[in-house]
Amino acid sequence: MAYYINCMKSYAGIGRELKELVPDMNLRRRMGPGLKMGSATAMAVLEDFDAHGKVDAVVTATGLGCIADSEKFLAALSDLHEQALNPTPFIYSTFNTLGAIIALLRSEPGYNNTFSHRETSFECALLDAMMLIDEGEARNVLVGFFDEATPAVCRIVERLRLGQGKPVGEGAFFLVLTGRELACSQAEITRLSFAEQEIGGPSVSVQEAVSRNWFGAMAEALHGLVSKGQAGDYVLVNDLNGMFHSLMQVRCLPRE
Amino acid sequence: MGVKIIGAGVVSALGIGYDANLSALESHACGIGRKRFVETCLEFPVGEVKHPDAELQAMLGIEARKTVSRTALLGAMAAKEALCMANLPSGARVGLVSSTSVGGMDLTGRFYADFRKNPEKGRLRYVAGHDCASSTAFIAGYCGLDGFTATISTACSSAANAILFAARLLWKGILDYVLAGGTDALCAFTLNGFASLKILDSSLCRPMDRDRAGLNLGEGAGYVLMCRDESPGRPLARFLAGANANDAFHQTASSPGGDGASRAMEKALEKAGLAGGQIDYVNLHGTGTVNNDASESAALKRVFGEHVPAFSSTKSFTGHALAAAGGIEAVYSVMALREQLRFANLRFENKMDESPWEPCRTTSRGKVGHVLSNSFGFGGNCTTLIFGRA
Repeated sequence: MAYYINCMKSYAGIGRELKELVPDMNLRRRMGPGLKMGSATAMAVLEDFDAHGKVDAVVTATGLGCIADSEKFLAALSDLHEQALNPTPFIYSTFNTLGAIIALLRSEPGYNNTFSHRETSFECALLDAMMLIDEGEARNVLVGFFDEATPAVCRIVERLRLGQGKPVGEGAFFLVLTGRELACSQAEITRLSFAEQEIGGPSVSVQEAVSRNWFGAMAEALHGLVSKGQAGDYVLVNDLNGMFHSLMQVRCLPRE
Repeated sequence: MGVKIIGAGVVSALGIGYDANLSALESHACGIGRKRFVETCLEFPVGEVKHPDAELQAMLGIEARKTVSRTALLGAMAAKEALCMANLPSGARVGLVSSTSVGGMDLTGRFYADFRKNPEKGRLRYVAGHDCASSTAFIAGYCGLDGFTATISTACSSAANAILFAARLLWKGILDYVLAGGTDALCAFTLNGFASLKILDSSLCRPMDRDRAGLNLGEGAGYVLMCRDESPGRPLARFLAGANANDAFHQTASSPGGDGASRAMEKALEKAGLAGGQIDYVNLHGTGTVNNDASESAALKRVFGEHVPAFSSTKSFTGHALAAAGGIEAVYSVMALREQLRFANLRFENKMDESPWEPCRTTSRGKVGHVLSNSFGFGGNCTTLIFGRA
């Protein structure tokens, strides 16, 4: 089987206003930063992909989920002594909220899953999407990662002395994975492995390629590679915090 | 290509281990009652595992000075049981697909109260295991697993999605053996969350009853060990198929017609190659909320027509263990097939206005060839798993 990356975008590069992409004002008001970044990026990717097909499954990944909402609810718990709490932050703190919002906004009734698995959250989501394509369960799968960095997360990471002094990252990345090459295809994933193995030729260390400390590093490195648009074969090694987590071989396609 | 279940482990309000849970289900012993250990001032009934953290830790042989979340402790206990039951050949590489809804939130709660007053305060050991993958890493380490691991978090359907994903890894040939399920511990965070949604019953929950008034939260863990049919290992039951669909209706409520639920059930039946009439028992999501039980009943009607199989909600015994529920109920599905049992739906008195059917009133013996198990989560996440006899 072959797997193609289409319309991949980073929140930092969408150049669009959230209100154009998510017109529902009430929904926008309720969303925390991660959901805003994630839904904007997902909607922008889907807008681009619309001309090529319809997405029939959604798989999201996140390291810490909607942590700002978790904090809000924890704060209210302690301030209000477990009385008369507003349920909204609790509802929105659920890890699959972004996948659910995408399903709601786009009326996507298909497969919808969410991984939260530290360094390899994004790769797990890609693996799920690849298998959906193999199984014929889906033809076009929306895959994405998001994380938000709150002041509390930054402070705790600092106190735990994690991340070698790099700033804590946040943002969102989305793409559509397909089983066939389309006019919008940017790259082909030729290998995804969670076991360390021999690779012929040079490889890119994700640890070195990404200047921020976060579980979105692999997604960020992949986006960097894909958006550069230089045709050729590349190997990304997810070696965050000096440990091997996964490797991905990518063939960037020539631009028309 | 068939997948068999060769190990099953469970911890719930009904007790620790497969046998304790089976015997409680057979004798109609409800595990829900007044809280003893969870740190909250709320007084709703809960389905607690009847041991404090320190006892669980001692049972697992973990040094008392180590800080481990209850979520991880419960998970390790159930996972270990499934692994031991399977009696794997030496050298077998076993993957782990785990799931949780709030990870180490039980300990984060302790950290956060101090941290909120002063960001330099709060014991870091209480927050280091906050993320979802922390319990997965602990379980893998405790069970000595060094293969592929993954963590899924889709609220109350998490463990069902973990089992489905794990079975697909077997089908695809990525893994030979896989331990899959979920774990969640009761904590103030989720209790208050469901209290703020006003869907907790202040009495014992009454799923599928006309007078149902909400759910009771529970806790625990459930894991199954699966492999392909050709691998060595004595099967307890078979995993036939599963499917996930999205209700795409509302962030927390289910659609009145049970759109997502019926799609998940229909897709799973189709993949299993079964007709509705071949299902002998349905283990419902059946939380006891007005909304879920009405929506799930509508879905049953859409899928099975007038011939709805025997069904019940074992959450009337255990409470709703959130991410773990699908794992606990997968183990109960294995029990139903092995012991030829359909489980009681406790405290059922009157038929719902929305449904002409009664759930099983008692745990009873009868032919059980195929079991369908439902798990639905926030965000319209609907998952159905189908199990068959060994």
